[in-house]
Amino acid sequence: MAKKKTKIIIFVVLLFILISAGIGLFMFYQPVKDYANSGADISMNVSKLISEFQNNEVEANKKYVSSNDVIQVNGILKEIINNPDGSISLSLVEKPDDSDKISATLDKTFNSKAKGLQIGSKITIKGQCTGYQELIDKEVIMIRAGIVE
Amino acid sequence: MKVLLYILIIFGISANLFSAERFISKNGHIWFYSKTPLEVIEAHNNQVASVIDPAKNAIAFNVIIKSFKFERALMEEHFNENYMESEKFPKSTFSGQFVGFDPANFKKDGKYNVSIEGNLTIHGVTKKIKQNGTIEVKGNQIIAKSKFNIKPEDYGIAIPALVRDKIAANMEINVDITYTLSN
Repeated sequence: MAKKKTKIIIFVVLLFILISAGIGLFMFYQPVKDYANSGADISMNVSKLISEFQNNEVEANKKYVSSNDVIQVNGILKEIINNPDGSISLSLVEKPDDSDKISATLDKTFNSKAKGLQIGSKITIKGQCTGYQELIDKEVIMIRAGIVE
Repeated sequence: MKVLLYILIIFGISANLFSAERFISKNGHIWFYSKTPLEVIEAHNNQVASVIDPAKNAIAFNVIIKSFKFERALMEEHFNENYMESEKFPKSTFSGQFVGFDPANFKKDGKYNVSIEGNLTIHGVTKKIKQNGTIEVKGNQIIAKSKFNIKPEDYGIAIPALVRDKIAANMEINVDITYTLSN
């Protein structure tokens, strides 16, 4: 009887170790979130996101960057840039003459879709927002982005 | 007197125009390796903004920490939350000068060994550094490359003893940026 109990205990302990190891390995090797193809957590227009960073960068960083949320923005396509690493970046503005912009680097799976885009047309994208800078232009940076429409 | 004023204004404007001519990049590539026998960690940032100002023989960088991409989610999370504290210190910057470099070379095609000296800010800590690299001038383009090491501890980045032997004492930083002329 005691032998049977020991066996059960050993079995339970082994099972527990196996499950924890499995969860650990799963978490350790988990790839980064697929921002380009995940559902949007927040959606807004280009000028709203830019002005939030310009009014309070610290707060905007907390809200849109550290949260790791999928941010969806809509605006007008101003520029298509081919990057040296083979990726494509899009510049989105609120109005065609605006210089403040969102610069979004697309996930490479969206490269072919980007080639059909028209400068000056309306566009909606989603991705990961990484911050704000003004060394060259005043721009909010997004990466891992996908084209919604 | 009026003529003198006009001359001054014209010179003033043209001087401004000249200094407005600079080489810019918004898709510079900076990546790093941490190599130990236990683990090789690498991360890439392809959204580095940088400006070379030939008139001032100056160079500046702006690196958004969150734009570093890792293969695994957990590494990226640890990098941002535990080590770089990117919410508190969202950017890393460098501002400096070319040392012993003739700015006329920015207009002459060729490959040059260069030395850059200036202030590097990482994790809110600013250090004066001097590093070597190369620049290649090709018409209206400049390709700048460099490779150097950084000790996380020098910038107040604490690495817990538990993972200390998985993270290299020296991070190998690589820079590869293609600039285009902008007026």
